[in-house]
Amino acid sequence: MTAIKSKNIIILSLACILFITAACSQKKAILYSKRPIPPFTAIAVIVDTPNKIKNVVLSRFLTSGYNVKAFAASDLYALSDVYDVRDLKKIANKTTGDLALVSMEKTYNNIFKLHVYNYEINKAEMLDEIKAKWNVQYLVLLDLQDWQKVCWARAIDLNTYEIIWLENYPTKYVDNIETVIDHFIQTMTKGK
Amino acid sequence: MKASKQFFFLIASILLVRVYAEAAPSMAFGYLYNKSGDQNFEYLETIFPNSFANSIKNIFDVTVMKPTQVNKRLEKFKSKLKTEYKGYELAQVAQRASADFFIYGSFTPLPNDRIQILLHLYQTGSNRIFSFSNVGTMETEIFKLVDRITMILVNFLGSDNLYRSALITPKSRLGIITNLTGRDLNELYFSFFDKGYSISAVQGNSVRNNVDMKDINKFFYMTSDNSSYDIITDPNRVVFPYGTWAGQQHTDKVNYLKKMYAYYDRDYLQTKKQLVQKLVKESKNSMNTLLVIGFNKNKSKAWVRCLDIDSNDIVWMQANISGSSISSICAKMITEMNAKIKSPFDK
Repeated sequence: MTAIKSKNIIILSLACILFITAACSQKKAILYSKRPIPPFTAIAVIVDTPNKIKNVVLSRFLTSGYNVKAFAASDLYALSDVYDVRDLKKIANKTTGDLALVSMEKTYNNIFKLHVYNYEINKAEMLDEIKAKWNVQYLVLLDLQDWQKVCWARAIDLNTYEIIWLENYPTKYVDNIETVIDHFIQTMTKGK
Repeated sequence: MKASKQFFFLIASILLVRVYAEAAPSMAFGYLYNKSGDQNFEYLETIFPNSFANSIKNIFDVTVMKPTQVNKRLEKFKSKLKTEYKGYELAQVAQRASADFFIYGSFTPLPNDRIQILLHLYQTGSNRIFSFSNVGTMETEIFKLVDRITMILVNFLGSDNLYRSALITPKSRLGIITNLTGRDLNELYFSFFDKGYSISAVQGNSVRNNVDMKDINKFFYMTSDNSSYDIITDPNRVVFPYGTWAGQQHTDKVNYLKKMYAYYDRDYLQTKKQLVQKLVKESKNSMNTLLVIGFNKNKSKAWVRCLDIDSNDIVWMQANISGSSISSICAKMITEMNAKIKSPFDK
């Protein structure tokens, strides 16, 4: 009886270890920085949150000395609304159903593929316009999550169109918006 | 007596099923068409397929049919092998030859005694065609070339459909199109950054990625100048009925569809080439290699297509790359990208 009990405990412990390992790997912190983005640099910040939170985010960047350009994050989303990849799916499906052109599978796939390339070209052109119009050097993307989840950030050098900094940050119990943003600013400014 | 008869039939059926299940796949070889027009090279039209058949039989458990044998089977249908095929004709020739695979192609002699071989592989019932080319020296290296091409075929027929024709070293500037988003996309980028690759902001410039698993699977088939893995279109199956009932609206609709077919299917390669070049230009030359990576729902398996933008050639295709996390799948990819292209014939 004792042997069965201890066997159950071992199995339960192993299951717990496996679960914790899996959970941790899901929330792994990662940081890459090709070069630091020093304060006083002109940046545009895109964060998909309600306005009051957006203001807190932008104020942290301003406090840290960054030259935050008045770039409305909604502009990019408006673009994605116009050029939403999913729109094409509806057209393709409707035409397929309508005419049952089974042999046009390749055509429909190709339309979609070309649309993805076109969508990327449109975004690149738009970012180039932003860079030229407002002299923005870096685009910073942020996604904020509740505690126990992973917040992430990414920065793009608009001169070279390369990703130069990224971070996945699992939030701690003590974190709030300010501490998370300050953490991102710190790693962004100092690099690795 | 009745019971023993039933038992006999049962055993016979089991044996038959077993033999059928374990039968080696059959591979029929067509001609390799002489593209040069020079009659001095015509003898190679059958020598090449015969050599491929012998070479593949040496390393792969397969029943091969050389062009002479295929012709004998086709005779029953009052037909014979052609030097060139349209994609939609392959199903019929493979079925008449009773083959699981049909392989044919062409060759072009190049300056300095070199030769370019273009091969097409069709699997019965797949409606897909895999094509690739390889260049070698005519006389001294001809058997090495045959072995190299055989290896490409054998690798592609493996469970991970591997095809790789070049190294993709950390000097490469990668543009990545995938169905991952947010922190998962960061994890993918990080794996490549960690090994020294630089990555273009293509797709990474959005907070959310609109391309989902179903969408990315459309990129599973890719075409380039010298290699492709693509869907076969049968234009004969597309019927545009006309009649006295057909008014202007119907004619306009049909014309529109014909135009759509021409632009997005027949001329797709050219259209795509121009768009990718434009994308590179708009991305400030931040990429010279386009990687398309499709993950399954659980992110435990991935497939990859890799296009060398300068040469407009597919340099790597692989499926079923599995791992416990995105990082472990990427690690396997990076190992493959930097591995020497091996041949069992190399000593």
